[in-house]
Amino acid sequence: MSEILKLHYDVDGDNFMAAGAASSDVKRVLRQLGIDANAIRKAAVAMYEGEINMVIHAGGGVADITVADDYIEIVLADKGPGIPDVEKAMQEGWSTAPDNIRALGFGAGMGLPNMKKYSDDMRIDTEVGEGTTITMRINI
Amino acid sequence: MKYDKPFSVNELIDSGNVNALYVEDGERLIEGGFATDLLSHGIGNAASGDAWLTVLSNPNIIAPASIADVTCIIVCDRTPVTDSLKQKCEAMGISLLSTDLPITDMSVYLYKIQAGLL
Repeated sequence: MSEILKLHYDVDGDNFMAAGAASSDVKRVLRQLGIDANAIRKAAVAMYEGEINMVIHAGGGVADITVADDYIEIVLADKGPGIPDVEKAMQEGWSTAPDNIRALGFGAGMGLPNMKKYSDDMRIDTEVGEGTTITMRINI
Repeated sequence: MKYDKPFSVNELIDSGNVNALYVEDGERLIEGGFATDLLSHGIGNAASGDAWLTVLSNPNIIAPASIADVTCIIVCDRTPVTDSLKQKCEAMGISLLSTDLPITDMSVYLYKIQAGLL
C-alpha cells in the first residue's frame, strides 16, 4: 500500500468566495492521477463539505490528503469551537449556521451526513473549545 | 431524473427561453435535471450530466456544481446574475444559463424537450 501523493491546503476562514477551492483542486489532481471517477466524486464531495464546515464554523483550518494505491485519506483539522453534540450534528437537517450564511445556500444541515455518506470510513475527534479533526477514507 | 433522450446545451439554447451567459461545451449533453438552492443538497444528489436549476446566483454554487460535474447551471426566475458568477463559471469551466421561467416551469420545459413535446 504505497502512498502515491500527499497534498496540503490551508483553508482560509474569512473568504467565503474561495470556499470550495481546495476540494475543487483535489478533484483536479485526482483526475490527473487517473483515479476512478466514482472515488473522485466521493472524495471531492466529502472534502468539500468538510472544507465548508471549517470556513463556516471554525475560522478555517488545514486539510491533508493522502492518495495511496487503494484509498484516499482526507484529514481536516481546525481549532474551532468543537462539536458539543456529535450525534445531533450528524442528523440531516440539523444546522447551527447563521442566517446570513444560509442565504448563500449553505447551512442545509447536510454537511456531516454527506461526509458520512460519501466516505467509506469517517472518524470525528472533537473537543469543545479545542477544535475538531475529521478523518475520512475513500476506498479506490 | 435521467432523461430518455438527452439533448445538448446548444439545443437547449436554440429552443429559446434561456439566455446563454457562458458556454463551456455546447455539445455536452444535458442528461437529467436537479433543482435545489441548498449547496449540500445539490453536491450530494445532482448527477454528472445534470442541469442544476436554482435561484442562487452567488459564486459559491460553482465549486459544488463543478464537483458534482453537472453539465450546466440554469439560474431561474429572472434572478439577476452578477459578472463575478459569470467569470467564475468561465474559470471553472461550467456552462451558465439563465431563464425568466420559475424553477418548476423550467423543469417542465426541460422535460418537454427530452420527451419531444416542443
